[in-house]
Amino acid sequence: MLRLENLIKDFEHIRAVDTLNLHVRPGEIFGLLGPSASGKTTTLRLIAGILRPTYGRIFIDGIDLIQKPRHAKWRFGYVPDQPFFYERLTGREFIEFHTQLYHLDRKNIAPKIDELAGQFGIRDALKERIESYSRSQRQKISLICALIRKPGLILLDEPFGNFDAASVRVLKDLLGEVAASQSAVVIATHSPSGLQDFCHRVGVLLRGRLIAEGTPGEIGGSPADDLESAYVKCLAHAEAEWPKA
Amino acid sequence: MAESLRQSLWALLLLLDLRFGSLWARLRALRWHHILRVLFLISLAAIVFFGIYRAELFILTYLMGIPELGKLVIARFFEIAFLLLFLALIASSAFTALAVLYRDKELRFLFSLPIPEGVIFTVKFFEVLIYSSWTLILFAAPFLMAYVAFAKVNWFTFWALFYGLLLPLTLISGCIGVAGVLLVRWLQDIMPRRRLLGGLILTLFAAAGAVFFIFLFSAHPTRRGFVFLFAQLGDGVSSSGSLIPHQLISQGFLSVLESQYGDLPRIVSTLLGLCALIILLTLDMGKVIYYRSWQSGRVLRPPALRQNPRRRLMDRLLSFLEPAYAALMRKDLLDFLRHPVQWSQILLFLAFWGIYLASFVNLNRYFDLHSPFWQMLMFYLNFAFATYFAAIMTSRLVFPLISLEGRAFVTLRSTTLALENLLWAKLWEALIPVFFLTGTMVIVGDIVLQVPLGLFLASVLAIFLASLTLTSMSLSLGAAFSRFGDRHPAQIANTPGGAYCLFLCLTAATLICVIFAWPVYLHYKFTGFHVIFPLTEWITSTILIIALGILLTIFPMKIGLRALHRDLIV
Repeated sequence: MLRLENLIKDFEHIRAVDTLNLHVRPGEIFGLLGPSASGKTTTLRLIAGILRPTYGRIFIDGIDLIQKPRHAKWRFGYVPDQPFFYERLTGREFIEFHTQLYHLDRKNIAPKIDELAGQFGIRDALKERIESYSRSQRQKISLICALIRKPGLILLDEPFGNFDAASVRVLKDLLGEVAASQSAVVIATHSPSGLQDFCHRVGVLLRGRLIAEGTPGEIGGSPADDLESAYVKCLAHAEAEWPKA
Repeated sequence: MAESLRQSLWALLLLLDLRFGSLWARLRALRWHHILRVLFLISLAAIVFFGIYRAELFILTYLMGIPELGKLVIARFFEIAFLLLFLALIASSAFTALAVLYRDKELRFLFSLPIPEGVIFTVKFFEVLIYSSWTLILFAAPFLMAYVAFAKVNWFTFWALFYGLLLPLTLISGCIGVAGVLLVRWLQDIMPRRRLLGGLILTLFAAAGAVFFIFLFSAHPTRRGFVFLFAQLGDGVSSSGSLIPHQLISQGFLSVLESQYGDLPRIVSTLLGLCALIILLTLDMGKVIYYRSWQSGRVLRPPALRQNPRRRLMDRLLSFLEPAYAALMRKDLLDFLRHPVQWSQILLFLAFWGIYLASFVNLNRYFDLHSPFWQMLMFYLNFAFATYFAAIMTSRLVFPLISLEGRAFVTLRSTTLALENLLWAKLWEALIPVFFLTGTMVIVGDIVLQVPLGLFLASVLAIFLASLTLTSMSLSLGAAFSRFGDRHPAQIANTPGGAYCLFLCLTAATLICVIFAWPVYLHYKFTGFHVIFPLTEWITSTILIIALGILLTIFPMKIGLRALHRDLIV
């Protein structure tokens, strides 16, 4: 569903993403782990078409994002770490606006909006302006926008950070259903807690490079380790081996 | 007391240091291509400055040549020019004050620091003054230099005029704008919104009634006094003791022209005194009510909204468009209807438009419009005015449109929306109101002047192309100099990109006016001197205007589109 080939992104004198190769299959939940400023958000923004890669190619469902951006963008939904909206629209108006950009009919989509908003507990807030929303409500609106179209790939940047335990449970259940319907899910986060029994595979990014990739058990080298210990070990090992400038 | 003053001063210096630090960091981050762009901008600005300088020198020389009336006409010219500058500065500072004093995101951080609120207000107050006036002052500089060259005075007098007259005018108008905004926000805080609106309407009615009453029954001595006061304010027949800033400043300039330097110290000291007084009053007012009114704005929760018949009508009207276009237009309309700051700018232009049309309808009271000379002159001046009006309107209102998408542009970039659709949708959205205002100016003018059908059609076509060109240029430059972090249109229009846009739009407007002068002149020769109708020249100039219109629309749109595809860092 998602294939990255030798992806590089440079900002002035900084290489944010360094020769990244990745393949995420349909029906797979992939966790992209890494400390702050390791290039997770930049990678997702490259896949979402917000940034242009310096070098390399991005394929979504076999379609080259650089060559055919509109065709590729039909196939994914993106939930940024800080969702940005038109503050003076209501939640419902924003979701309707977003779905209209994908040529979905507003009348047909209304029951689906109510259903998802009900699951996230924000149905009443939908008629209020977004400027009065909390961070978690904003992220839920962004999630509804991404999930409502049932795209083949869902990209989520730090999705659990602003949520309470009940909302995290709802989101995990929904993403599980998405994966069961053969869609791929990519979750970028700096915190491995909660991904242990959820992700099929994880990758660890450090300074823009993918330093490890595999099932949660394969990352740390020892199958007995949980994901958190494995991730910390993996980072420590990579730091020790990292070539000194 | 001394300790508190020391702490306040320290905090003030710290905040100012923060501003200069960020400016210095921005300058240090400049790369070669930025420097080249700045150099290009400076050269363009120099050309525009020189144009203003030469034009004003020409006007002053021409007016001075009018026998017996020269000085009187110059006096009126100065008064009108400074009145316009004064009003523009007040409006600009009021809009900027709304953004800087109430909408700036850094305020939350600043108010959490152990800094007195009065100090924060002082820093923000000076920020408002600088942001709101620098572009206008820049435009006033060649005006002042032309005057100095015309009056043949030395450079010492130039700087004396600048610091003694122009700077106090800027500060006074800035203070009036800031104080007005503070007062409105304070009233909003102490009165419910509905009662505030009712109170404003009642006050307006009461004021109109009072004026009507005074002018209808002006026999009583007290009423005669009022009539005298109004006449003084309206006609500018000021005595030497006038306290109205734009009259004081025009008196100052005239006294230099007449080499009567004896009056200058009185005028400068009056202006400086007024300026000091009004600054102190505004600062004191800010210290008392600013923080409270800012806080009350934080706790206001926007009301929940229900589907209403008006929006259903809007949906029906937009249903004929392609879904993506309809979605964009619906979103922009809703956003505009719920953004009162945008209305205030539009209302200002509407008021100006209304006054202009009302004055034009009464034109036959002053000029013999049946004479071909006056008819053609007024026709051309009306067209030129509408074009410059479009240039200023687009650079103030259309330039910020892309930036006003804000950080939500990230969301748009990740969707399937083609960015050229976004740009074209914005162009049509902006063109409709711009052409409505400029088109009505030209059409009403043509009807009043009873111009022939050929000229009427030519002027409507030309103003349509001018509106299209200027809207496209402003929109594209807005994309090239986008600032997605700023939320206020006035703040975006006051950036260097906004000034650049204003320069380019004024240059384009001048070019259009120069080309349009050709067919108008040919037509004047045809009607006034009965020469053969110059068909070839007419066709050539029409083709030239259409070609220029298309070129100046398509080319900037291409640049704007390229700018929208840049990496988006938010």
